[in-house]
Amino acid sequence: MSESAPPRRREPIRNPWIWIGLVAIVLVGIPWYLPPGTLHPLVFGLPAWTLVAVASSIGVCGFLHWALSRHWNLVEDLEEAQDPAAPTGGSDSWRT
Amino acid sequence: MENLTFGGWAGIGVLLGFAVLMLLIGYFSGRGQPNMRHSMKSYYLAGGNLGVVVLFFTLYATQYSGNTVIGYAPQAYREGFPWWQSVTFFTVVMAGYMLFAPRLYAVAKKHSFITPTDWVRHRFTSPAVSLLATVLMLWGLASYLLEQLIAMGQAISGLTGETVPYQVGVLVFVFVMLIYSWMGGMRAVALTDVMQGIALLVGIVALLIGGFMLAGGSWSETTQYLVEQDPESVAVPPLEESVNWFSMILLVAIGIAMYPHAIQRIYSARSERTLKRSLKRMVWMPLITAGAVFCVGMVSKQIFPGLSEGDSEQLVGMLANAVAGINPVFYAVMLVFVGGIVAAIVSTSDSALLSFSSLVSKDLYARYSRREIGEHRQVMIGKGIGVVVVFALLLLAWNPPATLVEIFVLKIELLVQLAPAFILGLYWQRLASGPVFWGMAAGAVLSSTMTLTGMSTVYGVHGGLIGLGLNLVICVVGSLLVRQSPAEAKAGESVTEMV
Repeated sequence: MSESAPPRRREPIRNPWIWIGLVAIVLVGIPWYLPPGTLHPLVFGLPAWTLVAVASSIGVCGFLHWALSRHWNLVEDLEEAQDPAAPTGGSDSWRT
Repeated sequence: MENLTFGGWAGIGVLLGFAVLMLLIGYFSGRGQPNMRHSMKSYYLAGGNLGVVVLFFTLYATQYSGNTVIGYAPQAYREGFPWWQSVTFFTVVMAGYMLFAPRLYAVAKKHSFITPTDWVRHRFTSPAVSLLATVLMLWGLASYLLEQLIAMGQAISGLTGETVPYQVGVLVFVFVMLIYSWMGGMRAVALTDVMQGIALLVGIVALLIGGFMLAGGSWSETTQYLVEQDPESVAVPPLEESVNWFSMILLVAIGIAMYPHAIQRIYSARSERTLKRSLKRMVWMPLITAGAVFCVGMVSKQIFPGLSEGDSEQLVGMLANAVAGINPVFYAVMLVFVGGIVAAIVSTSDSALLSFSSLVSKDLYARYSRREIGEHRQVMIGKGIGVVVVFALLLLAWNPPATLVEIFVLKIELLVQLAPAFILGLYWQRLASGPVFWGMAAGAVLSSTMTLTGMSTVYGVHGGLIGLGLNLVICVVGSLLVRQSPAEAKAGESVTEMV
């Protein structure tokens, strides 16, 4: 995290590439582009398209994790400035 | 979940253990917060102070219930690989949150929102929109609760090998749920979610390992069986099914994020950082929850070939029974697993019930009462409403519909109609209350009509999404045509320009 300049406020909805990327990864995982009934080629004993679908799901997980990490910062800095002593991890993560 | 021979008294013992644990959690949660009886925020949102781990588990328990296991494994069994969509749609729910949670969290903290209707009232300053949104949420929550109560009874009678009758089992756990919710509010609900979430996770993984062992323990044997004996289950589906797959992903992504109890978890987060970190963990959970359940369904094809649709509904019970027979360790883990399923159903029900109570007490009773209602009284009214609603739904639950997943689609198709009021409302200053009202009403009527007339999809696209499309068109075109009231314009400006 940069210490010199105040970080820019970020919201995922403001970055169209997040949504374009997400739809693209999801669409790759759905076999709409293959002829119905296709079984071959087999990879690790399963039709290749099923592995593409699994890879797409893992890709969606990673992509969303990245988007949540990098493209969401609205009031975090403000909250931490107001309550700098408040920890957010360790035993406090069990806090209710 | 019927005829589990390993159940009986051992099953009753496990269920009683879970029940006692839940009651203890409720008791200690309530003891730690004397303010809870007098504060809506304390009772319904745990004071808006949930930390990462508890928030994560309560989000997890809200999204995945025992139904995810009982209903989705048979779905994978029947539909084959296309049901892998369940993994993607649960993941994409986080994208649904990303559409509105960052800003809604900030606005909710600033204005101390308790219920989702608080946002609608704040943004649109229209009693009609607030009332319609509340009614849709209550409708969705009621059908959701009903579904959970039905599943709870089936799981309990299944676990105990019918030693505990369906009705008795439901009544006992409903009382347990009401007591701990009453004692500890959201804090108790969230903490029991931790216990219930862990039991469910451990159980699913054990069920999958056991199922795989029963199927021969060989990846190549299982895949060979699927490709040679059941090729339709792993072949590319027809185009309409692919369209339906994408439609389901969209519908669930937006619909589940619109669950009133999910929105209240956004309000409950201790900080933005806490919320973000919880959601980042949630992103990976579908792979080990819905993914494992999907694999259970597929492996079961080899273990129990040729089940009819009705028989396949009993799949998880049959498999748990078979896995329990492998050795004493699996027997013990399966007992905890099926107990965990019941606990997970209870944990999903308590969240929905708490949300239901808050909506009725704050947005209907306190709002439309002729006199001023204090917070203490609102909390008490909410608790009372919870009891009445559960018992009214129980009367319906005695005659459960056949397939659980179909009821699930019905509620989500209504809740998804709230999306424009939340998502567009947060970012588009010009969105006006009149078009929001008519859009929401038209979307709800269209999607309900489609479902009730048996036309739940058109070319694979769900009625809920078609209703949402109509809803959006009315919201956008209407808002471009009508002029906002000054109060509405001011509220819109304050929200959309906060960043």
